[in-house]
Amino acid sequence: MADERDPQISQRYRALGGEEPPPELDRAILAAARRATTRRNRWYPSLAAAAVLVFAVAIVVQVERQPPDQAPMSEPSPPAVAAPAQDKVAPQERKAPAAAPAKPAAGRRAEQAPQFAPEPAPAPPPAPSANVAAPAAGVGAEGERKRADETRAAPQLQRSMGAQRSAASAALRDEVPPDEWLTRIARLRELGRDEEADKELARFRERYPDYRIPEVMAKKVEKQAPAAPAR
Amino acid sequence: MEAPDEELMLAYKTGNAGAFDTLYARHRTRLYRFVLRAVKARAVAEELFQEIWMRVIEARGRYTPQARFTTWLYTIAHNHLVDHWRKRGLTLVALDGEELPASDDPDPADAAQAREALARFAAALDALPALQREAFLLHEESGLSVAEIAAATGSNEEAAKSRLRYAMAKLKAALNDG
Repeated sequence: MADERDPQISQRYRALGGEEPPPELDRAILAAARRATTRRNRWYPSLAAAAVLVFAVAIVVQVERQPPDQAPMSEPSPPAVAAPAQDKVAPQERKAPAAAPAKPAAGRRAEQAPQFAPEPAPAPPPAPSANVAAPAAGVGAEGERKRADETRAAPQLQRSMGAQRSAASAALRDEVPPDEWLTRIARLRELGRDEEADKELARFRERYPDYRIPEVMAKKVEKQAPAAPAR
Repeated sequence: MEAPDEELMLAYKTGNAGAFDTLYARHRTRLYRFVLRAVKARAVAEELFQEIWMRVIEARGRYTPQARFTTWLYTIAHNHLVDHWRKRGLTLVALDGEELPASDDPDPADAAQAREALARFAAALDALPALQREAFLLHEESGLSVAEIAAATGSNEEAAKSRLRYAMAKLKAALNDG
């Protein structure tokens, strides 16, 4: 409040002297201020790492909790062909979300591919590769359970399609695009499961008698003289 | 254009040590004199001065520019002074060892007279009740308004204004005595 000032008093007060804090005090305070900011900055990387970790965990949990697609149920390969042996191959072959509505979800989880392919990845698929890559992606535990159920129901499904569930699976199977089916057959071939691949190929030709298999894919799905996996 | 104190303090809060250097350079002298004249003993003043700045450093994370930085700074200073006075039983410390600066007046007689006048003023300032002296120093040394003095000292404006007026009247009387 400037109106409270008295020039005479101010002048006399100023005349009392111009004391200053000693330089060593200045240095000590400024050093403490800098130390404080250094300590603070040291936390930044840790905080950033923790935040990234929390986000990563949250995303993983979210993905895990997502209801599985109907896709895992829709596979062209008949579980009845070799039901006991299929468990090993199941993750690769049965991720077959061929039904059109399931594709976006499968593509979204494409980053889970490593669990799908512990072995060396096959050669890039032929022309319709976009359709092939997406369904080949993730599969959840629930999907596994559903597949196991299907495996048990397979004989009836093959013979009569009597059971309602089997009928539903069969309907989905019919919707599997040929290129996906061929990719799976090629996969069986890669794994050296020629017998199954042969059967599947026969079924494929029965189902799609007019389908012209591209040359590149034909090499993969048809039995070659010395079984050399395409890698 | 220089950055305002509040902006500097916020910059320091986010880790800019250079902002604190600027802030300290702006306020070090006034705060030091305020503390020195409030406690009148250099060693105690230096200790308090350092404690006040340490408090500023520690409290940076909670700083919000709701008022002028100066008001915030002198609120911290006031609290430290109150603690100091409490420890000393609210008694005033005599002006021991306080040396008055020599005048530049070349005439020895005038110089002696000026020194006497200054000594009277210093004694009058010293004799002020602590709260009145604090109000005067906050106003004269630190440039706080009555409202800001009230905020810094945790009192109301009427009380702050009253203390300041009493202090000014006594100092004016000391000036006129000469």
